Amino acid sequence: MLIETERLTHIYSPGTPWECWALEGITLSWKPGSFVLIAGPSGSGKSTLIQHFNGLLLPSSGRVLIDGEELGSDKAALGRIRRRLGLVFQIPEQQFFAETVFDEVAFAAANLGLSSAEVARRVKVSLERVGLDYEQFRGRSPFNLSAGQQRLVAIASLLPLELEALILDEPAAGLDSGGRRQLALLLADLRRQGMTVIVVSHHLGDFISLADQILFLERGRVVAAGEVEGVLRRLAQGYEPYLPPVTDIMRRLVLRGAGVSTAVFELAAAREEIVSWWGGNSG
Amino acid sequence: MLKTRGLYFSYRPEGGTPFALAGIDLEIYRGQHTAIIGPSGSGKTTLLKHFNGLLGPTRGEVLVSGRTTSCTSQLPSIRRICAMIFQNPDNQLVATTVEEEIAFGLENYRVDPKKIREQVDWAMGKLNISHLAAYPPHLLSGGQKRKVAVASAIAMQPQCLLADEPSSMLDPDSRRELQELLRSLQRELGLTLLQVTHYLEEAALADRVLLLDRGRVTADGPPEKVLTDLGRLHAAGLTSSTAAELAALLREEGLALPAGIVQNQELVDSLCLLKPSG
Ligand SMILES: Nc1ncnc2c1ncn2[C@@H]1O[C@H](COP(=O)(O)OP(=O)(O)O)[C@@H](O)[C@H]1O
Ligand SMILES: Nc1ncnc2c1ncn2[C@@H]1O[C@H](COP(=O)(O)OP(=O)(O)O)[C@@H](O)[C@H]1O
Ligand SMILES: [Mg+2]
Ligand SMILES: [Mg+2]
Repeated sequence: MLIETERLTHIYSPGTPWECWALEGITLSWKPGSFVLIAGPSGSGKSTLIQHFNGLLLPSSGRVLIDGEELGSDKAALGRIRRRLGLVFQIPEQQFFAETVFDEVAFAAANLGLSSAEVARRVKVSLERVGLDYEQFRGRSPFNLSAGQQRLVAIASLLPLELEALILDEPAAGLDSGGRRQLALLLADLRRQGMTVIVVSHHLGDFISLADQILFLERGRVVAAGEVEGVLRRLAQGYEPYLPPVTDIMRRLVLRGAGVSTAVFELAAAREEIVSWWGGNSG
Repeated sequence: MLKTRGLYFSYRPEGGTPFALAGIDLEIYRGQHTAIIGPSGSGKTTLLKHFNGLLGPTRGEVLVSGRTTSCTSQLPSIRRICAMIFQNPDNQLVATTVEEEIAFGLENYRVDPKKIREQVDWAMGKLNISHLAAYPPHLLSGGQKRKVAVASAIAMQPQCLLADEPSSMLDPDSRRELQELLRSLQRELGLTLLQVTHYLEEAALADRVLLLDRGRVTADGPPEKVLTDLGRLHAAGLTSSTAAELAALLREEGLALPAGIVQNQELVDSLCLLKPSG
């Protein structure tokens, strides 16, 4: 799915004392099948931006185009987009309504007019893909799960649909390191199937090895955008706490005069880089 | 300060689900900063809620400053001793302005209005949010909401703060700011701080780390010990901090790094110190 914006501006509560320019003139274009990370301090406009991609919010000025078609107030067109593009909210509880995990995950699939056996099969597969045991969780109330489990259920509930794009708002918040790894594997799998994936995350490290593109926002404006290496180089100048931990270790080594590359995000690559520096003569 | 004896807890005591807490014997000392880590669903929130009596044991006992939480007449005083900061700040916000929000808990205890005013102002000052006093809390950013939640908790002048993943929704800058703030409150006011976190770099700053796995404490000790026990962490489905994991890989490659590395800078310092000059 081709996702584009042209000089997108969003103003909350215009003309009131709480008027807030959440986005100011954002222009971007992401090719179908892209894996995009959106990062930036809280309040920088990340959640506001992604809610424009399925028309939950409409621009104060500028345009949003999905596969070349402008999103506007046309209800039928918005309905079509929402069947192709799924959004997982920051606080998953806000999107639950069913009494059991099974019904929550089955809802979208049942709406596709599938047989109940096929719905049950898709629910089972979806729960297992996010790492939740079907027998253990199917009868539980989604409201009584731990926060991390709730997030996994929210993601599972979108998997039975055959989406072209999936957008997740801070999916790693509240997940333990095992859950974050599981989520990264799932997203890698979706990407391999050609899905466009957009992830909002403060922690670039969790998904960096999957990303084609990073967009870094601050106060509604773009600080850096584009391919991973270039953006990380920019973030190393004043936005260090946002760097993936491995990249931060390499950066600190370079500051101490070590001859290592900073364009490294994964443990295995860091090990090689450090071992060869350690054995070598330079630095 | 806080004590559990043979603590078992089930959300459905009639059976059907495993115990969320399955035999916990703990003592938390006054003024200590303890981090609780563990995979999702391991019982961290459930344990925290036992220390201010939001949940009561199915079996066993929980004591707060010698008072048992199983006795309902003790609950009001227990809740003044132990203030809770919940995982999702939105669920905690009840008032239409920040200062009413912070006063809310005190009003429930029928504290004298003049005293309430004083404590609210003091708490807002401590958190640097006095300028937000008249602001509607639901329009604040995630980081600001967290600060309001912390201010509401310390306005009660508790002896113990129970903080459930206070930093999980925050960006790295706000996270560090909140961490420093909790630390300084703990030192300055002598607070006992019990904090759940998924960031092991953050747990590294505590005096003590508890690892919870399926309702049991499977490791308990100083951070440099618990956080570098990769075997136990991996068994619970967790990974340690990036620096601890990378140090372990480098040791396998024969690099003679010291034990106890958890933070990025510690790893970098050790590497630069120990590198054989070529
Ligand atoms: N419903 C709203 N009404 C008014 N202001 C809002 C609303 N939602 C967000 N904002 C403001 O818009 C800005 C961007 O918010 P948001 O998109 O949620 O940022 P992020 O997701 O990066 O934390 C912030 O200053 C926030 O306070
Ligand atoms: N209100 C509830 N009703 C039933 N089960 C619950 C409820 N809250 C949590 N649980 C279950 O209890 C276990 C421990 O949950 P919790 O303490 O929230 O874990 P953590 O905070 O470590 O993620 C999990 O299996 C969870 O699904
Ligand atoms: Mg957001
Ligand atoms: Mg929890």
